[in-house]
Amino acid sequence: MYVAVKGGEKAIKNAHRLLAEKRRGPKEIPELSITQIKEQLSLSVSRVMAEGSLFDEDLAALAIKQARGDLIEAIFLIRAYRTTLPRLAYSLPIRTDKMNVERRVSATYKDLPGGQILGPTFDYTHRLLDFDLMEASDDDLSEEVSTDAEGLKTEKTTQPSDTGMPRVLGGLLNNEGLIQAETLPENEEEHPVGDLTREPLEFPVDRDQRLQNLARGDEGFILSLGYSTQRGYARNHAFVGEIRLGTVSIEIQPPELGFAIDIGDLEITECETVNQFQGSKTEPPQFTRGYGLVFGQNERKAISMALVDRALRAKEMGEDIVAPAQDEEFVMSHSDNIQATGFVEHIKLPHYVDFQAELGLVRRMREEQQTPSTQQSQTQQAAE
Amino acid sequence: MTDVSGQKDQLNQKDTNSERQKWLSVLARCTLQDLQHHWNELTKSEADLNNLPYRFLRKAETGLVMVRGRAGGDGQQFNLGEVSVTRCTVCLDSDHIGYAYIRGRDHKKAELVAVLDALLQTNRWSQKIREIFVTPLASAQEKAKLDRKSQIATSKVDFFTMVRGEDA
Repeated sequence: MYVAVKGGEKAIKNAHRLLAEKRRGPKEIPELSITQIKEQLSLSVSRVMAEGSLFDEDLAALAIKQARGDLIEAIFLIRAYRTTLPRLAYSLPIRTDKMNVERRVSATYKDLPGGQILGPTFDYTHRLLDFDLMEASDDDLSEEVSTDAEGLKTEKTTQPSDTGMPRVLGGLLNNEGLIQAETLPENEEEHPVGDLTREPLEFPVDRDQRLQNLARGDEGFILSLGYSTQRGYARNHAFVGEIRLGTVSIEIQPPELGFAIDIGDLEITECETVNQFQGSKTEPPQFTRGYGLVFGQNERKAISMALVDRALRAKEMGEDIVAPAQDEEFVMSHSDNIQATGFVEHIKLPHYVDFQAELGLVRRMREEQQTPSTQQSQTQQAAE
Repeated sequence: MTDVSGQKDQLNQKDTNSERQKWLSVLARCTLQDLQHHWNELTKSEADLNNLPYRFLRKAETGLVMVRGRAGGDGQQFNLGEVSVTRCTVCLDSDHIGYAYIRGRDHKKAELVAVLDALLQTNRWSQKIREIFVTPLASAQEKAKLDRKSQIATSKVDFFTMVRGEDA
């Protein structure tokens, strides 16, 4: 057990000064600006917003700067900050089907209405270090048409297609009845939506709480669990039906206005997986589905979340719970990296009294072992 | 007869609301710089607005909105995470009440949006502010959206499926 300690103010103060100096680095190197972090390390910003569970690019960038690039520390700062603000409202459910798409791909259909749009992706890059980036350059990337070394001509803009982008799962597969439809609770208006920031976690939980937990859960943890399902621990044969990245508008309905208003945009990554069939004596075989939705641009997390969401639906699908990824208590109790880091890292703080007790205990046990005759006589005495 | 006129009033109210939804959505997406720039232009020619009297029904305050999503995009609702939001309510001397709910933590912007929302409901300023703020800012936003769409469209891909060697 951790115990309170007194003293050390001066040392602590100096340690914090050393930290501030380390954060700033050598004075002759220009200081990072929040805009630089926001615009050039935007994927770090995305991760901090997703796991900090607060969409605000400036605050996330500030947290990254303050945390010296330690993203979990930055997430901690964001989580702490959000507790200082009042909750004004719940939004209406966002409409990802109306997204301003930056990227949209499907691994299940080659030809889709609206097409496959790669957008700004690392996919198909060669993963070779680009040494040109060693030096800052003002390369003009704004030329309308450019030709590369292999003579491949690329344009800066092109006419977008006029067709909309129907959802792959809901729109295309569901038309044939080949995939399970999403179900809505009866009387949706009155059905409370679980909120882990308001109610303590109690098992068993429903899918709404699971999705909230996964959306703010640690990327690495969710990634590993998703991977474990692919390697055979609750295998469910997932395909990526669709990934979308883009912006959606946030709408709220303030009671004083009585109608919904749009308060701005939110960048979001969505992933829907198509998983292996389910059927019964009465129902024909059907694909099942998993869902991932994450703040910012983070499709690694979105795909992993969809895999784990599907695995966690084991009970409702009547599957045996045999693997960690299917165990909601295991997954949800360990996915939060702020809880995890708090408990793991706290063991470095003073545990002097606790340890003294254990030290005393082990000394006594050793003494007793070395002098069995005394022990025997003691036992005899006790018996008497 | 009274029923009919009542319905008509309601209809008008609905129209105003949808107009209002439009302008609030446009204003919420502007930067403070854009809004201030247009405001400065406006007040140059309209001295009345320079010291426009209004009072706060609610001073600008920042809080959180919990964003909701739906499983599978159209299924059960869940809480995704929060977003920082600033709100502000002002009241003009003419008793027109202006509201602002904007994403972010910019108090000045929220106040300006609330004032504009109030002015947009007055007969005197509605036309003018639409001309100076809403219409040009809306088309700038629309253009930015389309420009981005045509940039993104260059990465539209047509995959060809290759026949696997062993099947050939």
